[in-house]
Amino acid sequence: MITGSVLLSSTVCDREAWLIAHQIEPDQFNPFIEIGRLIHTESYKNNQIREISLPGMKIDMIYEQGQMVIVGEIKKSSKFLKGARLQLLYYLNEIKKRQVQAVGKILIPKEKKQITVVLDEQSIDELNQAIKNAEKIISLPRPPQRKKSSFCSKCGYEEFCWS
Amino acid sequence: MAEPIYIFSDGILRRKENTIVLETSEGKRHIPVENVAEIKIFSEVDLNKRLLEFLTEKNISVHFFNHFGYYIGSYYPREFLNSGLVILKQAENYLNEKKRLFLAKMFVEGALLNIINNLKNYNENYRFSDKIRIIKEHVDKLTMCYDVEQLMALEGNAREVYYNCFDEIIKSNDFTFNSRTKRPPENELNALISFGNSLLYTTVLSEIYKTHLDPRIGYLHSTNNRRFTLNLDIAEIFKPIIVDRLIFTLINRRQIKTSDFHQISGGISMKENAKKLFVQSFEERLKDTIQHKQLKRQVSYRSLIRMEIYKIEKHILEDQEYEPYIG
Ligand code: SF4
Repeated sequence: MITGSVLLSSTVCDREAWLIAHQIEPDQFNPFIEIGRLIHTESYKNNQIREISLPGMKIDMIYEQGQMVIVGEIKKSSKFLKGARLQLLYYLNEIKKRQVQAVGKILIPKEKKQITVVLDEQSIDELNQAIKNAEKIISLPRPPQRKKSSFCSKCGYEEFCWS
Repeated sequence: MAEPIYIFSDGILRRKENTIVLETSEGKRHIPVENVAEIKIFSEVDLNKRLLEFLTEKNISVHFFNHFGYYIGSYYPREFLNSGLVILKQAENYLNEKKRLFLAKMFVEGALLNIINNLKNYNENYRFSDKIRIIKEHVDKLTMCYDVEQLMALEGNAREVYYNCFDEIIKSNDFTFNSRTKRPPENELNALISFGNSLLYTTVLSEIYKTHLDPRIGYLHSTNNRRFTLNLDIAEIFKPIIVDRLIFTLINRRQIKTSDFHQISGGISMKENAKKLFVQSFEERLKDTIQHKQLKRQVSYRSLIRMEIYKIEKHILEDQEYEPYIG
């Protein structure tokens, strides 16, 4: 099943996308995953902002600003912006299907950065292209071959892939 | 880092807010739940459902042992990692005889190759060369086995050759092996092996819990009459590396002596202090590290066990063919 995190990971590593799509979750004891969790829970603790879960989506925060609905996605660093953008576009599109217009924001607390993401015609094309690509990967009968890259050492699947 | 908790004194184990409290005649001990990886209980302990609920929430399993130090059973909380695909593939590899036999063979091969390496470590003046050759012949014959029973028999024979070397490996004359007796172990050495193996079985079980595999589906040990079998399969590979080497060291360094055992009704048992020492050395051994070729960093034996389970997961996903760890 295509989800936000499958799309996100498909920009980094096909194998990771396949594993996530088949519910083979990464190592829960990996320190980097632990850090990610902490950033999520600590950074925006005091704002009264909701975290919501919908099928295929785990939205970090959703809130109203004036007339606008804002969907916020918190990231550790601006390293994976492309994936984060796709993930947000996916959420915005899913929300639109439910008749809500929203604008996305990638929030990087550590770098004090906010990047706005808008769902326009061009980005919808981009999203559809990415979904097609991800669907192709996850329909493979077995995981795509592991490939050593600089991501591996910070990836939750490192011990799985390289054991 | 979370650590396994061992309990040797009688008492009550309960939940108090976010800690586990052990109440004994000596007082109360608070254990923050974040520090607990698994619990192994050797004494008489009362516990209630509220505690089990808490342990489930925190994904902590509990293993129980009787007075001899034999494994009785486990509280294995509801799985928290679930992949339908992995379970289907795991069952498929059991039901398909060829696939099952492949994995079973790999476990036996891994066990025997690690046994050979143990003997090589103690092969002064080539005293074990003949035995090593015989066990190698058994390894070669594995490919000819056409069912699991034959594999088991072959392994049993090779293991006997191995056990025959124990009396020579062990320097102390007080310990003699004679033959392998399990239930009950009839002498001190057998009691040590049984105790060490039980510790290993539960350790592997706790590691399986952190993966997507179901410990009820094993390949070498049949799934019929035992609840957990995959841990027994994987333990085969690590027994020579972890348990046997530990026993040789503890006896040869005279850290464990025959006076550390006593006869109790129905068999021979380790005294509490010896159990504690064994457990401590066992945990230290699991923390020992080796350089991992693929990961290019140091990994502990405990992670090595978990990675062995990942390798099986990858095998059943037809990602990479399984090869046992040889240490
Ligand atoms: S460890 Fe490397 S190959 Fe494996 S999923 Fe992660 S990035 Fe991909």
